Amino acid sequence: MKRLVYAILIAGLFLSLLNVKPARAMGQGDGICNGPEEVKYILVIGTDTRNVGYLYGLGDSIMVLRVDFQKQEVGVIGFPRDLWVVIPDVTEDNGRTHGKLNQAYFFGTEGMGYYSGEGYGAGLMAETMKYNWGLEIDHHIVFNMRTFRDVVDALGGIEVYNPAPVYSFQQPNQPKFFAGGYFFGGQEALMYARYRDPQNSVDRVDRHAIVMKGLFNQVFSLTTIPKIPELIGLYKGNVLTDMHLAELSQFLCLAAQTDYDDVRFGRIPKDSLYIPDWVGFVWLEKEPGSIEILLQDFQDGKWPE
Amino acid sequence: MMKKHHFVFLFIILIGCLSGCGANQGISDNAGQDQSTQLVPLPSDTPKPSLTFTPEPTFTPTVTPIVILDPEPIEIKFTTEDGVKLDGLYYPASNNPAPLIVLVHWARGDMTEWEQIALWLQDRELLERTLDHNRSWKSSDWFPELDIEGPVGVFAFTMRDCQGSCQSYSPEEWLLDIEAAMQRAANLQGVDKERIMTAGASIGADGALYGCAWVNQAGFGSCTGSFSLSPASLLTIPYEELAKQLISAEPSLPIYCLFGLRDDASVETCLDLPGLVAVDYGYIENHGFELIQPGQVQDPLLLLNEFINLSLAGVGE
Repeated sequence: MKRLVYAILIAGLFLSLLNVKPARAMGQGDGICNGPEEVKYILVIGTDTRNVGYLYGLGDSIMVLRVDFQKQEVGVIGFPRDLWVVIPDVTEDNGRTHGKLNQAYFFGTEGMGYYSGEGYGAGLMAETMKYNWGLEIDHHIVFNMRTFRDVVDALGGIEVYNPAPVYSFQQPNQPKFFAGGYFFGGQEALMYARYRDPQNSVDRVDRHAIVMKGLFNQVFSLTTIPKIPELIGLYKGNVLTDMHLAELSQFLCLAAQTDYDDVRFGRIPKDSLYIPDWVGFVWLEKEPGSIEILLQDFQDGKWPE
Repeated sequence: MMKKHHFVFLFIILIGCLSGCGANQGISDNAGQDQSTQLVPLPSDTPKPSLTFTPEPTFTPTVTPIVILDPEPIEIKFTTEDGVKLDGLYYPASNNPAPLIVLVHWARGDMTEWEQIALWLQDRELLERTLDHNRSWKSSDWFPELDIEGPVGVFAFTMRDCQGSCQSYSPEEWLLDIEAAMQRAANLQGVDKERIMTAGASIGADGALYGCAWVNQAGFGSCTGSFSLSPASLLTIPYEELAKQLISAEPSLPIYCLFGLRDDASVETCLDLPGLVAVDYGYIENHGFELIQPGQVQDPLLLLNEFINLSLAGVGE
């Protein structure tokens, strides 16, 4: 009799196991939001073109996102556009071997056509980062000024906090931003992000991060969340990216689950760079190899302050 | 001694129960045969007990007794795998077991976005032809006549945090909601779980396709096709991969995809996918439910009607 009871129990257990559902996310990664297991590096470039399209342009705002779907971590590191680097694969076309980091984008654009790999300007900039610092980029997103402005306007504007005055007495035509909170439309956000102090393009990186924070907060505000699908639909074609829509939604999903204060921002430290006595402003490493070490830390999940 | 009495008593009850069960079994499974002759014969002058059933000779048995549910939508509560309680509305068909279409909403609304279309699909005279100046998909005064071969049940539900509109961007959790909804839908009274279809708008379009693929993978029923309004792989799963999986099934399942050409993400998703019925509405920004407009060359509701017929016929594109 006991054997019968055990047999029934075992059979019941077996049947219940048969009812266990299959893996939920069919054919997807194991990370949060069905993201991949491995850490992904996404190169984000804002170009200085005002018109529609990406035929030409310089990489004006340059950031790399480190996205870890396993640990639910997002980190960002900003690069000064005037950093002097080796630009690989362009010697045959224009005889150059070096240039500013933002020129790496320019030489690779479809219009210039110096780069034979994939991804045009973003592809060459990724190649440049790999060549100079060993940082391997997985994906890129490129937007121009017009798209940036339109997206900010479509979001209804963004809130930013400017921690320190931004103006130059030497350049009276430049806009002035005093310390404090602002609510920017697309045009104002663009002016703030692009404010140029020729002596200090490194601080510009900080403003990009401030604007990014404003964008992030607005995208995940209660009024915008229901519009996210439409916004993706409207602007997906206005950015250059090699990311599949599902990858974008994985990233958005992760971002939505992440407290913005937990997103870690870093940049190449100003005191590790200097401006040489050359014609035109460029930044060089004080100690060659220091950026590579810093970016290795970044890849290991350590962020420069 | 007492134990013996107990044993005899239990034995009598057991025999009585078995014979009773046998009689009932005969009524439900073997209707049409006169089972009363196999039971204890009764004297001719004794009135027949009320439990004795003499079936009509012309009665044709079915697997389960048919109970036609009232047309009014039934509130359905169900719980997701992670314990979230969700609400749904079941619009029963006029006959059963009937095929079912599961409707998934977009981020700008909840299950009520589908209300008028659900009543139209249910086709049980509950649809009042009303005009809604703000939302054409809720303005049923222009809805075409339905032409579906046989009755269809409808199930709509609201995903978590989406009462009124979605208050969080939670694709991963929404997938759980869709799974739970599909499982609940397959077990609704009067539903033929082997003939389930899905339809959705925007995030719901991606969710509907996922739900369809998931039913077939989980094996608790069969999904026979999915109808999408502006999908864009918004729920972290590539739409194209799921669509290919369903299209390449045997038999191939119909997948419809409707989109505006200025909705870049939907264009990228639907255009050039072999085997998928892609319908564009020209260079418009309209997204999701906004595609459901009157006076279009290809009426989206007639396409939904066409999809259902194709889906029920078991014919893919």
